[in-house]
Amino acid sequence: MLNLFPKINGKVRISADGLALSRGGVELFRDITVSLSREDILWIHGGNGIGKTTLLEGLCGLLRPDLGRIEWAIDGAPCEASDIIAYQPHLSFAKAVMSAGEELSFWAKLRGAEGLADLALDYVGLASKAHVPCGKLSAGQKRRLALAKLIVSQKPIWIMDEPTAAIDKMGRDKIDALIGAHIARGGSAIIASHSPARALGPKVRKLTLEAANLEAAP
Amino acid sequence: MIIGLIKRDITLALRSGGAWLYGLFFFAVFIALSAIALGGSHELMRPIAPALIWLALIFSAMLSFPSIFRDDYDDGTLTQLKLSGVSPLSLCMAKALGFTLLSILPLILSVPIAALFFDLPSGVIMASLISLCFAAPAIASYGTLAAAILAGRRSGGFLIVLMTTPFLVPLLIFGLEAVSGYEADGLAALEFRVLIGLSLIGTSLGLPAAAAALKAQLE
Repeated sequence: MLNLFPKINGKVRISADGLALSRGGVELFRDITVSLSREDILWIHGGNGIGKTTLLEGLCGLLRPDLGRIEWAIDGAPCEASDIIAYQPHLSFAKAVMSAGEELSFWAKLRGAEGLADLALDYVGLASKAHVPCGKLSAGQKRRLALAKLIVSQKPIWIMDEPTAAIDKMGRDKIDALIGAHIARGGSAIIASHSPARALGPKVRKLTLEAANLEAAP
Repeated sequence: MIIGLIKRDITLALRSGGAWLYGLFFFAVFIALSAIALGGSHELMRPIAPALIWLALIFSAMLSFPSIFRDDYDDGTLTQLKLSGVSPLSLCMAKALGFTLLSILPLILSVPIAALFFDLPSGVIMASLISLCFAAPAIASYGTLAAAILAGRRSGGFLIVLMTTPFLVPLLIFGLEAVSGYEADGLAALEFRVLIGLSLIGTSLGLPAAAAALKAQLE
């Protein structure tokens, strides 16, 4: 029996110090310090346009910081961001003409977890939609498909951008339960959201991004 | 991994509602309009027909270059491929191969039909086909390189044409020389070997350069 949430044994860590990031030539914030280890949840809070997504992309290694450095490590040894991180962007990256099943098994195959695709689809409640093109899924179903992709990635750190936007109360509880299961097996998560932090695991820390952060800097 | 990526590109193209056939359509229109513009006289068109076919193929390929990375860049697929541990070089190889299969191969296959317009002898058709096949890897690699450098730039189409033109000039020169050389020497014509050499240079330099450009785009 394949297990969707195998225990994560390695000690992974992201640490960033004195981080300054900009987008399109405009500096959004500076001197941000982030550290995340096993079973941690980092809840990044802040209004629209404050730079949450930029920070997440920086932590995924997709954006070079102007200042400061980010380190990714497994068991104390430095590694690539792609070794430990799964990133769920705000917008779905599913191709509209691919069916939900095809889409998920493509990404599962890339990560060497082809057997997990059907299981994960069933787990997020999309088993009956496996043959529906992604373009015809509802907003909530797309988000659940994105969650299934996080599961099949089998990465210890989930970085999620607004995982519960456009989701009703019931869907949100389900997503929270899923994140809880990931934390319980030794994973960790960074969640950016404009809703207040929820206690999804034993260790939830908050990082509030404020526009004032930049004005205070010299 | 590369095969999976190519398969996905082909599936996406086939379901795109025929968008992948624009290049072929352009090729057909170019040939038909050339024949009309030249007055339909076979004596006039026969000597320049290989050049017209080559030009049609190059223009049509240029038209398809911008789409190599555009969709995957826009919807974030490239980012996710990077985070899935797909190396930029494998991705560029997959894209170049996919481009060859989806955008160049249909054009090469339609050359014999285009040749009917010009009443070409079979030797010339053969020579055109072979020279285009030998040049295809270089065309695809340079297209992938330009598309990788300009991925994510809205007005990239014009720059892609500007960037790839200098690389395509030697291919055009030796491709057409090969067609005339085929008559005397067959496949032993020196120009065929030059074309193969150009293709080898194109793939061995173009694809790693494309991979480096893509890597720089994604960080």
